[in-house]
Amino acid sequence: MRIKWRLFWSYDVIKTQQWLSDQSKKGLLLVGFYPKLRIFKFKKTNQQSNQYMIIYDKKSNGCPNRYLIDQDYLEITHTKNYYVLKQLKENPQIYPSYEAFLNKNAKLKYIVGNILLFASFMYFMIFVIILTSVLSGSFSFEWGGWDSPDIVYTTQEIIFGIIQAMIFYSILLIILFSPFWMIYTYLKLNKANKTLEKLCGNTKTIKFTLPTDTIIDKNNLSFYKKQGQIIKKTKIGWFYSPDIAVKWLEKMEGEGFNLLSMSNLGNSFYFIKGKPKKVKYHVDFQIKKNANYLSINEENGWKLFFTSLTRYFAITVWSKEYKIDIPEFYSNIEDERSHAKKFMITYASIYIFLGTLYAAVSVLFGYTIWTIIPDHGIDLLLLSIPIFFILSTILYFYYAYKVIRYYYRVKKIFFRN
Amino acid sequence: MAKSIESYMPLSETAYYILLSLKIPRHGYGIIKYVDELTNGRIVLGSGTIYTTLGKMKKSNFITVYQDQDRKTIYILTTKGKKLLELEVDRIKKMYSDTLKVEGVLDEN
Repeated sequence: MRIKWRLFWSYDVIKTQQWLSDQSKKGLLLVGFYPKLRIFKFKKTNQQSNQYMIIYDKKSNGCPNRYLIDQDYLEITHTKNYYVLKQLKENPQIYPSYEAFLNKNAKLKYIVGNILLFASFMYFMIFVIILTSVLSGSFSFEWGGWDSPDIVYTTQEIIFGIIQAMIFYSILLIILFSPFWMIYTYLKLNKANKTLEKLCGNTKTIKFTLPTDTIIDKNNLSFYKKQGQIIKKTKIGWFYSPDIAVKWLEKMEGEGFNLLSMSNLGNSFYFIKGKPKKVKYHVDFQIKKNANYLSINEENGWKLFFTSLTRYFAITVWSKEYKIDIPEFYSNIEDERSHAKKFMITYASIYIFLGTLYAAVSVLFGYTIWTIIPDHGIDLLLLSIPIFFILSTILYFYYAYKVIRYYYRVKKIFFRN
Repeated sequence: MAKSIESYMPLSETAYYILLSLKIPRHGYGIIKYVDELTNGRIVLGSGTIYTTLGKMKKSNFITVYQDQDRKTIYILTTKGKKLLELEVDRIKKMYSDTLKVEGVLDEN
């Protein structure tokens, strides 16, 4: 019996599977798996060349029978949420899906990524504050040792001191090493999840937020722009009334301005002067887009122009050309309505929260400044901070108002024309 | 506690046709094409509708996914999904026979 420990086995499950199969070539056969302890248990036998699959599945508690019926797979072991299969054929007809695994790892990547983003912002702010105070001379270091007179400690004090030091150093270690763990996790998952996405049926290649087949070469773009063939239109914040944007895009197509591409942040549209076309647009919102979200819509004839960077709270722009019957992204109006509701609730709550926060900050700043005006006098630099916060507050409430209006417009539709 | 199968009934037309088409495993687009053929174009499912409905069904464990040899996603009914389909078919059969009875009455008048 041999036991092997693989700490981050779940980050790249494909690599772990390869590792298991390499072990079997060395004559170590997998007999047990303890995912929480990250332990793999092996039995020494003759050399074999086995292919393994590790599947994460919260619902089935072991391999569903259908994989075993065709005798394509053999279940080696299972725990509550995982099962390990041995492939019995070189090319099985079906594969258990890695979708649940991908969802789990994508969530981890998203959380770690957001913490890193927030932490680096905080560190940057602290750095700026320290730098400005050092430069302005209001911050100075004082060097000096502690006085250490001869003190005799009791045993109790010594033990207590050691425990205190241990707690202090372990917290320090966690604080020091968790950024490394997070960066490692993020980078590792970023790479491994792409492989998993392909194995889960995603065929689309996305560069930042744009599908690679719509990206225009920069030299071509400036050339055609000079010729007047490509025009650029910018609409900031159009996301929050998608139905109006969709109508505008459809009108542009009808007038012969065909959408070519969008900008990375989605605020600008590039049109080429062409023929008038009948094109249906749809701006879709998904709280979570699965690996096959893009391919299922694309197979149905929808062309992708833009999709959000992360798989959560995703906004995606689709278009479909038609002759007579207008294609619908949501074939019944209830789905359209619940889609709009989801969109409204998500964005309205985000912006109302931010708006309230910024309003509170503006009041706080406003009050502070009001109290120091008699001594300090009014200057523009002083006023710029509350003005910035007040403008942001207005913008956030305006966006919230826009999404709520959008929902009520969709809610009113009873029949489609 | 898990919701009982009956609490999902009656299914929406979309959900019913999706379950019905999954008598044999299909791709997402395969479901759209099959339902279109089956209903002679009466029901053309939008891909957004398919995506959200399949997502909900997956969550309630009526269907599961796997990959075919080209790594395309295929949907398959679970035992729970089969049970739901059976119950729905039964209910619709009853509805149909009840409708026939009433129609007969109406014809005589």
